[in-house]
Amino acid sequence: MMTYGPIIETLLAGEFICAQRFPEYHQQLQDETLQNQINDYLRPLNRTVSQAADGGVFFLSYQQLDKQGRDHLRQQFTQTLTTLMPLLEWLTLTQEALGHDSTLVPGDTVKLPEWVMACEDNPSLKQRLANLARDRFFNSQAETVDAQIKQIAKRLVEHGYLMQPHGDRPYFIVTGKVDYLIDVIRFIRDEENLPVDEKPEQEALL
Amino acid sequence: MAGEQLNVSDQRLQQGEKRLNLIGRHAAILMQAYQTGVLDELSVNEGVLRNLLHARIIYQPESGQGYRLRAPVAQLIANLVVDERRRSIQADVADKLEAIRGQVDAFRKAQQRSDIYLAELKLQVIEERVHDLVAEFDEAIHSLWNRLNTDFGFAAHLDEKMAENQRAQNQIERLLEGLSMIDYDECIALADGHVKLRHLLVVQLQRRTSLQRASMLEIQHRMIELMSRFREQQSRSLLVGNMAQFLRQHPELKVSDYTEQSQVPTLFNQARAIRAAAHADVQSSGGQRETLAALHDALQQTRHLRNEKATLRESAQAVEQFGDAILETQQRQLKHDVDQFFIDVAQSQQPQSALDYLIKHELQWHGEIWLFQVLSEYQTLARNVQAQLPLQRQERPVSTTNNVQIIEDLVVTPPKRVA
Repeated sequence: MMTYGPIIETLLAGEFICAQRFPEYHQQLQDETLQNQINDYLRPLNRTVSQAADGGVFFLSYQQLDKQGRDHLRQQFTQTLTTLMPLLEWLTLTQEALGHDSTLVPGDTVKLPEWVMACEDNPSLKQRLANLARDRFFNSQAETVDAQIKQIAKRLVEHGYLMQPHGDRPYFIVTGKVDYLIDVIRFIRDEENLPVDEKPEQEALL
Repeated sequence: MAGEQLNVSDQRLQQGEKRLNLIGRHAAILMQAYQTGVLDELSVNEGVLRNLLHARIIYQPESGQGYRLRAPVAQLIANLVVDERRRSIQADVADKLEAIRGQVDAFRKAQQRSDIYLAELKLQVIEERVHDLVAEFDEAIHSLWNRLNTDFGFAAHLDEKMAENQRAQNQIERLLEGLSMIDYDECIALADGHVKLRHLLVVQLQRRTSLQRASMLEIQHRMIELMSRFREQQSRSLLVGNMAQFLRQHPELKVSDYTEQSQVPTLFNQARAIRAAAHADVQSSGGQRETLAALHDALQQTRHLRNEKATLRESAQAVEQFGDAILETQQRQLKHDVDQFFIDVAQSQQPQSALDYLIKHELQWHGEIWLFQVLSEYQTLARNVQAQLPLQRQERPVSTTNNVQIIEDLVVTPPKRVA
């Protein structure tokens, strides 16, 4: 008998279920019958399973919106907007510092010592890191690169963008929530008609 | 004439050996030239330079310029060290087919003249050419797989990787075109009536190239997949970079509040968390360990307050015993469930599957543990009871090549009752 109690508990706790943090639950949630069963169970709680990033992440939404629910969502949305900039800056900064081809994708590994070293060696990265760490979202008063990066990683783990497989080892795995973030960015761009391109500039047509 | 030819090939043999030795003797400076593109003239004396030039290992593109490795030597090294940046793929099939045709023609003429020696020689050349042709495709396939498997790791940037991928795709197309140039009907006609030729041109060539064709189509498929992944990465980076830049330039940007819409977009509809009532989860070993550790800490702290000296060893034992107690309770429950299963079967009329029982009775055990327990409990039953309750294993081999049997389910049949 398949038990889905743990999945429901995880969802109710407000977690994003992705293949990195909860591989087993993520796999099980691909099954629509199971999703329906869970939704049946959640109905009295006014919750329903939602997904983003093409099934990359699952989370709970309100089924019906009342005043309280709306207030919560409004608050959350304001928070999302204020975290947008620091998160974008985090993504571009790590891409540059670690010399990656692309911004972080779920499953990527971020090794803190590598990140620290890259920022210490490069004054411009170091400055950007210091600015980023001071942002309200990360809220670090630390002076050293090492401490700033540790604080950033800690906050990202708290918000579910990174996970630390072993508490005593300084490496982190990027979670599926990053894909959710990308979805949010695309959504805002499309809704607000922002001139933000994601296609490489075409060669001049002959 | 035969003697003359033998002499010529003898000479070649010696010369080839000498030149290969030359490469070996100067391996270090040749590799340096491979690496940097130009031979370091200062590190060798003029005699060596002349020998290398004479042996067609290096050349000087224009007087006054540095010496470079000749292309075949550079290719040889690239192939030996699997250097995908340099390895080139030859897709020139037409020329090789033409050569094979010519050689077959010469072979037939030699046969007609009854020049057995020449015919033999030609046959050897044809064999070499066929091997050559097949090996070239093999080499190309190997190189392409290697590029795929390393995600074009030799290219530094995404743009470069995409360009390399495109290049590889073009190469595959040319290779496939090349393969399709091999006309099997023509091969059959060429081999007409000769066993060895038939084996070479029809059996060998056809079999190998059809395998290669399949392999190349697979590579092509994967290349396209990889390319779309590269494109995705690229657009993602651009999106993130451009959005960051835009927001930096427009800090005053007002985004409308989507949560006020009558239908809030799913993305922004995240329900508030509900914490389930806390309870000790005895099933979760991870949680168990944490709980035990916390308990252990708490105990130690209070001991410290009470000024009691507890040796570490003692408290470790306590934790262990506590853990054992939980395990024992679980084990007893499992045993009890399995006993109940046997009793149920014995009282029923139908054979019962252990896994079905597990599901039907909503027992929490992991399937594998359940089956293992059923099996071991069964072993402890008395022989005459076992005879009354035959147990059947449903097994399957791990794979067609591995004959280890995996037990998928166990079926127990109840005793037949006399009506």
